[in-house]
Amino acid sequence: MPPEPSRPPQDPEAEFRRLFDTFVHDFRQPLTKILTLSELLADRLPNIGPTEKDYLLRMQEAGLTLKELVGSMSDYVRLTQLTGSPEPVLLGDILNETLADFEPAVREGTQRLFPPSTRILADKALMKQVFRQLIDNAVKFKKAGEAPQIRIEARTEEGGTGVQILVSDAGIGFDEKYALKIFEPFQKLYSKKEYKGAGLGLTIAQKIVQNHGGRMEAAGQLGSGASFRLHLPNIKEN
Amino acid sequence: MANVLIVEDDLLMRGLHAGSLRDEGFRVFEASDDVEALADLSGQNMDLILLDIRIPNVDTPSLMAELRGRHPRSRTIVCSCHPPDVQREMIPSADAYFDKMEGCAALLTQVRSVLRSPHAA
Repeated sequence: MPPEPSRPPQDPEAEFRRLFDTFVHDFRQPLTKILTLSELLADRLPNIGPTEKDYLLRMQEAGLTLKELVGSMSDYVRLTQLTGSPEPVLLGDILNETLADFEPAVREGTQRLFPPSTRILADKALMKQVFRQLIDNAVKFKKAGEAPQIRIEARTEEGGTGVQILVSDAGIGFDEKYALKIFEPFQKLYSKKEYKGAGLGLTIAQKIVQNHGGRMEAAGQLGSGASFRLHLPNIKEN
Repeated sequence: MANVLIVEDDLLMRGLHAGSLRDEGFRVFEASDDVEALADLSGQNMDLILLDIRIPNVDTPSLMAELRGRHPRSRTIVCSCHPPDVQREMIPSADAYFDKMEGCAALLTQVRSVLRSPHAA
C-alpha cells in the first residue's frame, strides 16, 4: 500500500500568520454581535431607566476595550514581523501623511525643526505607524485644557553614522525610572479609566524602529513632558 | 432606490444588515452562499454587493469576480470581521472594505458613500 502523501512543509511564519488571522477573526465575530446588538438596543430602548442605561453603556465600553485589545495584538503581530521595503524617504513627507489623519489643532501644534531635505532610510508605511503612535501619545498625555505641543527635531549623528530624530511634547510626562518599562507590552503608567489603550503602541513603535536597524529611547519628567529619541541608520549613497 | 445583494452566511448579521438597509429604503436581496448569490435574481441588476469573506466552502475572490461579471454596474464592499487591512490583503480589488464591528449605522454611511462615488470602470 503506497504511503499517504504527506502535507507539504509550511513556512512557519506564514502558518502562524494564517492561524493568528483566523483567531482574530473568530474572536471579533462574537464581539461584533455584542457591539452591534447593544448599539441597536440603545437605539430602540430610549426610555430605559438610568441604571439600565448605565449597564448598557458599561457593556458597550467593555466590548470596545476588547476590540481595542485584539486590534492592538493584531497590529503587534502584523507590524513587528515586517521589515518592509526601506528606501530613502523625506522625513517631511512621512510627517505630512501621518499628520493628515490628525485634527487641525494637532497639525498646528506640531513644530518641525529640521531641514526640509532631511531623508531617512525607511519603509514609509511602517515608519508612519511609528510617528502616528508618538503623536497619538503626545495628544493623549497632553495637560488637561491645553493644546498639544509637539516638537520634532532631526539631525545627522556625529560621524555621519545615522539620523537622530527627537519627538518631544509638553504633556504630563512620566517618571524617568519608567523610561525602559514604557516600551514593555501592556505596560500602563496611568490609569486605564483616564487613559484608554491596550498598552502596545510604544512596543510596536520601538519594534518597527529596531526592525529598521535602529533604536528608540524614551525620557521624561513628571509634569514636564516626554521625549522619544529615534536613531536610524544612515542612507548609504551609491 | 439601489439594489443591494448581501452575501453572508451568518443569519443574525445578515438579518441585521438587511433590516437596516431596508429601513432606509434599499431593495435588499439576501444570499447565504455562492449558490444563492449566483442564482437567478429575477433579472435584477445589483448596484451594490456586500460580500463576507469567510463563507464555508466558498472561494470568495472567485465569487466576487463572478458576481461582478453578472452585475457589471455593481460596486463591491467586502464586509468582514477581519480588520480592514487584512481584508484588503485577502481581496485587493474590492471597491471598499467594511469592518462589521463598526455596526449598522456605520455600514449605512459606507454604503451611501460608495454608491455616491464615481464608478471605477
